[in-house]
Amino acid sequence: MFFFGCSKEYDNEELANSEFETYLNFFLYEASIRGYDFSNHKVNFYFADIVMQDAGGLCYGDSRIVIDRTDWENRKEPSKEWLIFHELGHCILGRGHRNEKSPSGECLSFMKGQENGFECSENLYSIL
Amino acid sequence: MNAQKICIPFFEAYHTIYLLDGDGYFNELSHIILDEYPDEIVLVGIGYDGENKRHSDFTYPEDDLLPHSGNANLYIQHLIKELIPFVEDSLLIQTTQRTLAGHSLGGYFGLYLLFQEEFTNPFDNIISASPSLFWHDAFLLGLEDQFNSSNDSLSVNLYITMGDSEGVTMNTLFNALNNKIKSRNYKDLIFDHERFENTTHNNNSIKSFRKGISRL
Repeated sequence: MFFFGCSKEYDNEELANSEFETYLNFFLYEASIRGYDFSNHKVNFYFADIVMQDAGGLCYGDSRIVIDRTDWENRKEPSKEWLIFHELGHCILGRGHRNEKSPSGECLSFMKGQENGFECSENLYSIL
Repeated sequence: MNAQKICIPFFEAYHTIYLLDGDGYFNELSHIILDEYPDEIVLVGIGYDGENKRHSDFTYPEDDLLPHSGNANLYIQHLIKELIPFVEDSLLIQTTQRTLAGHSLGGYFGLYLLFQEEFTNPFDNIISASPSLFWHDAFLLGLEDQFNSSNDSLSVNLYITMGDSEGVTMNTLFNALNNKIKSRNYKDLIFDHERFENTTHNNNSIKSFRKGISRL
């Protein structure tokens, strides 16, 4: 999710940069491979209880990422990494949501959102 | 690292698949295997009890840009000396063939295991989905050069995939590695590669595992 405003959408925030350091470092690493240096771009991560339904994370401005505690605890790898990359896509790359899917229904971007009930599959070949 | 769950159909000997990032992929892939290969395959999902260390375990060499990376050799030793013996000797699962399946950094690890020469590759088949070939300035392409300089055979069934929507860097390196491998004419190598249409990085894991298993 991507917010430019500062209205509170969460409770009980707690600074948690160390929890997300590896993901941030890997994001910076992947950026460097592609010729971008964001190493001076400071981002702070917070755990909180996000009020909005179905939001695993929120980006505020370009330097504040809030991750929902319960969502995080229930996520497995590599889904955790995907969530952080999504939020960093907002905060560092300045990207908004990109709600596009292939003709077969697969998501075409990490930056997919849920606006207007948008849905796409990240695992079309699953039988679950 | 530990084997989280093991599905054991009651049969005599099995094709055993070792799945990296088992935390994320075991559940879905196990359903596919139970549905499509109920008596043929044992799936071993390898995950983590605590902190996930895939950035460390699946990479070599260490890269200064990512602290604590570069411990793939320790991970290889864990597979060879601990996990595979545990599965085959302690759990008494007779193995007809072993497959290693990994996605992203896991896909890179499979290729690193194949071309490094310090340890003997214990796997008959490697499924490498969306391998992170960009690691350490495309180190793996040079590693393959080095391997080729002293080896004319490569005894493995190798399947590498990429999604066409994974970006220029990923696809360029994918093409480069495939072209290198094809040009070598390694003896004993069965090699196939595939680029899936309309497929992003996230979407290329289960798709590749499923297709890769079907061609074994």
